[in-house]
Amino acid sequence: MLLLALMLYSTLACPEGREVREPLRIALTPVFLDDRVDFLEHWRAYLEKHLRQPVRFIQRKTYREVTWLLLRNEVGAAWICGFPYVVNDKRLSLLAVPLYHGKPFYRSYLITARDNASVNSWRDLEGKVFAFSDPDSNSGYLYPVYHLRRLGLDPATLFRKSFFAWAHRNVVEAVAEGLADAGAVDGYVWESLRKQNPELTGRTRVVSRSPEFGFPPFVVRRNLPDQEIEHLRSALFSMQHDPVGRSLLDKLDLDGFTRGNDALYGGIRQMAEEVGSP
Amino acid sequence: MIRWWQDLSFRFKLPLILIGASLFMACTLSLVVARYTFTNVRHELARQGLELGTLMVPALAPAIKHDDVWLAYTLLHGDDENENSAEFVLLDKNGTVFASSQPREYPLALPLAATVRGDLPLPAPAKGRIDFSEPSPGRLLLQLAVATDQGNLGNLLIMYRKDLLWQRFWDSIHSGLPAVAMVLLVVSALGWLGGRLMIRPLLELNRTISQAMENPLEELSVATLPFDDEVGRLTRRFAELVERLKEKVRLERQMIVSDRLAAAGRVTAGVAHEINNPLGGMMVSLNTMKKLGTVDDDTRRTLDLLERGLRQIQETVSALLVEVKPDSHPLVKEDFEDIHRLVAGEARDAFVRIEWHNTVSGKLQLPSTLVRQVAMNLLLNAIHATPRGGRLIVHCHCEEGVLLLEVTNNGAPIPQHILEHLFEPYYFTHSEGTGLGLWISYQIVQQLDGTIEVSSDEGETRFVVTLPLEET
Repeated sequence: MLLLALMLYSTLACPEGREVREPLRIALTPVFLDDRVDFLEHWRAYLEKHLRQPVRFIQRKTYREVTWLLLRNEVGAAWICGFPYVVNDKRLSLLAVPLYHGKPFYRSYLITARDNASVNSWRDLEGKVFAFSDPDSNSGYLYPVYHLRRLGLDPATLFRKSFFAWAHRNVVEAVAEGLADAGAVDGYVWESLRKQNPELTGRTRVVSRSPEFGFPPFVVRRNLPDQEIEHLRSALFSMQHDPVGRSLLDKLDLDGFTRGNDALYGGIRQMAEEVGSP
Repeated sequence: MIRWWQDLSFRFKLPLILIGASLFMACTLSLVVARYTFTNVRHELARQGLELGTLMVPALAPAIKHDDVWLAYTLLHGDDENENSAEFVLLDKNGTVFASSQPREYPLALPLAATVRGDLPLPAPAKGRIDFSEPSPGRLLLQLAVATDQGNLGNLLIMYRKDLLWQRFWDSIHSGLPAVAMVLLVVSALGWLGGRLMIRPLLELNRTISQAMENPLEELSVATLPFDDEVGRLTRRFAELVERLKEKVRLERQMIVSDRLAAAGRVTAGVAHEINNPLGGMMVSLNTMKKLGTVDDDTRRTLDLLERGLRQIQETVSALLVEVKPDSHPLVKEDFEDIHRLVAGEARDAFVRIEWHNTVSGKLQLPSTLVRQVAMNLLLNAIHATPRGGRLIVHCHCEEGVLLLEVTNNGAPIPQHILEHLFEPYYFTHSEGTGLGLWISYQIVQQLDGTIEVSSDEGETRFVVTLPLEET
């Protein structure tokens, strides 16, 4: 409440008489726990205050739809997975990369139900039901497919059934409920969920952790004015130095943002080339 | 068991029968209502399931079409994990599980276990009455086709555990249970009270009969019921029976008294005769001896002594020998008036007032000497029995061919045990009597074919002499 009052106060304290600017549209994907409406509202208010510009968050069911919004100039920026970034890096540029445990990296987890003793490695997945998160997700699709092929297994025929749950959180739920025997999930999301909903993650267990990959980045379309890009970047960077921003980062389970560089996504790019882009 | 029931008092048996019948009725009704409710609950559940399924099918069709398991799962799973809700299983065209609300129970991409599936495919639900099929025990199943214009994509199975049916059934009836219990209680109470009420006259009758067995019949009083049902009639018939028994006992007792008196009469008459004959001889011999005068003075004194003794015997014997003497003149009113005059003095001395009612008229064909003797006896006895300042009522009158002589005094009652022997010789005496008065009176009345009755209670003692008048 105090936070809200503070923000309200700061909004009102802004210099008057300015023209009402076009809202900045930022698209979000389920690379983080994007289903917390209150949190999103606070974050939006924070960004509006720092950008002195209205901000609208746009959410879509699939990564693909968000990528399309970006490519068709319908949103200025987006928080997307490294996989669509490397596929579309000609038309997108990095805005900021979140710092997770102080580093711009995360892993993919292979999870199964806590009471499912039959899955203890990737090779145990034959004849099982498998949950991917999104066909454009690195941790939830690209890496598992790549890794299975490296193991000499064909993801197309290996499973009895596989399906997309369209969000990492849904993968955890599908595995916990027994809809899927195993699933590939963003390790960062699983760890965040463990703090927020330990009951749900408690019904799952991590079978295998992938090597580190570049954390899902904030990207902008290349044709966005540089001034706007810099504004947005500094707004994000300011969060780790601002009490309100700090508390928002805590809720995101992140330490802050870094500028990052394309080399972070070399691993994903290499896998994408091997597996073939969707 | 049966014997135990037969031995059980009607006091319990009848109420128990009524309660049993009431309970049976109530339970039967309850069962009918419960069965009806159960059927209703079942159809309601089926209707709800079908409604829900019909809503889901349009959303499930694209999920199958686009192979979107997660979409189908979220549709089927719902938000809350209510144990009471239905289980949904979506089958694809090949009959394998595409998605389900309980994925652990119905794993994806496997055919549905035959125990669950039963004899699929099921016919589409008929219009109107919707009902489940029960392909496997404990499961109620509805099936809906998931179809688009292009054809059938699969089937939606809606399953309920049968426990849920019982749960719903319990939910819908348990609120009515207190009312049913109350009705049972009231019905039982009414049955009990009604039974007690119906059985009460029989218990009363039973108690009276038991009393009759243990106590003298005279003290028994039977309460009758005015109703015309069997019990009411029974009480009245029983009262009649008791009255008849009382009459019989009374007659028997009278008969015993009469027999005893008759026997005593025969004995005394016989003895008197046997004494009278030699006595006559002795008296004649004695007279002859005295007339001849050949005896000295000592002998004469002895003879006188003998004569006086013999005369006393003669008097006593003749008192016992009651005989109708033909020389008696017919009885007239004046005979009773004479008696009145004769006892008037004695009554006055005893401070007893006599109420005299004499309505006899004409000459009655009865031996006046004997009747006067009876009347005299009764009156003198009565005066003696009446306390000072007491009252004596005498009625002499004729009616319906009999002469009635009633002597009533208000003296102390004569106890029952004395009444039974009152007319026996020497049994009941008072200071100035011989003890033979009533005996002689009884003998006289017997010889005249009449009756003499005595009744005595707190208020008065009454002697009634009835003498038949000869037809002239």
